[in-house]
Amino acid sequence: VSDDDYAWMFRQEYPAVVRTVTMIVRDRGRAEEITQDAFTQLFTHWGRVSRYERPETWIRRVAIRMAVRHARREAARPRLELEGRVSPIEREPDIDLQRAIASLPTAQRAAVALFYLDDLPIDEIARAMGSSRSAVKVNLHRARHRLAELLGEEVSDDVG
Amino acid sequence: MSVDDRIRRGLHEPAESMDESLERALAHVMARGRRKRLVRRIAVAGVAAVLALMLAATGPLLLRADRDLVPADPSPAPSPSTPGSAALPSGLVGRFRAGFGHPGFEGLSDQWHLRIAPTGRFGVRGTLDGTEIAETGLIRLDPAAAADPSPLILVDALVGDACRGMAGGTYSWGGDDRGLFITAVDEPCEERAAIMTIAAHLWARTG
Repeated sequence: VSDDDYAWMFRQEYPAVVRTVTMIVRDRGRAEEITQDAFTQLFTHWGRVSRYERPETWIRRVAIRMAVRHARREAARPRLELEGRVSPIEREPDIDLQRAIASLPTAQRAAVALFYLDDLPIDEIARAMGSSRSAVKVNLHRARHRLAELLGEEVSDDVG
Repeated sequence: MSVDDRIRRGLHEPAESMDESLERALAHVMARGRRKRLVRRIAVAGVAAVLALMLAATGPLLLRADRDLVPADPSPAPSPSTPGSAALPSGLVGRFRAGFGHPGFEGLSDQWHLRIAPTGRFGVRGTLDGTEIAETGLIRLDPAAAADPSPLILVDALVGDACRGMAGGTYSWGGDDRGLFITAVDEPCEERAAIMTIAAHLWARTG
């Protein structure tokens, strides 16, 4: 197991993890810090984790849990202090969508990021978030209905 | 356009190129990782050295003490997760059914079932977007509420380990032979609140 393998994994996964974490924490700079913290953990455990069948799920799980913890801490801070910091991913063209997603509670936001951005199945989202399949389904369901309401779109019957 | 199409389209716009910052981040992470590895190796070596010194100094004493050890009581300690001894009030115990939406839950169209045992063990099951989901947990009376007529319950052990390390949620409830309502009062865990309030807080008694 070499550092080259680690570097390859980093280049493969880092951009996607940053994008997902950015959706959860709503702050690109902070998302990069969190993702780098997670990849530092991966580096120190690389000898073991590299032998896993899918090391990428390990890094994603670590980063997402760190992001959710951070977002919940931020959510507990006084509202005025937060308002200046809530900046959706402004480079994305669908600003209304980004703003709508940014307004969701943390667990719903994370479920949306993992389901729609990372295309993960419900079971894997539950594992990544340290949650249950049921809770993920409920959060995704509520998020879809809330987003449909905010964006004036229709809700189809089933997402999986 | 459905909301799913809108989300997928909006989120899958081409990502900006981040080649330069990627390499900077990689160099930064690997440098930090190497420092952490080094610190860990030094710490492990230090602990091993201290243990070796202690063993050399006290080994004979430890071996002698070992002979004198009295077997410990083999009976296991009671589990902290054992349901509380105080039985729940009858209004809280039983089988309940709920269904159909409320303003925060428009898509809930199937029946949902809640069963609470006198010990506090409970299960919730139902169907959401065509998928059956089920959760179990534990309800206890809030000790502070035992002497207070305002009914509060604590809810614990739900939704995988999403709520691990958090205190149990506090809910108010009210109920009789017709139904039960449960409302979150102080719930640190979002996932647990999502499940506990799934049925518009209102359950009709079926048994």
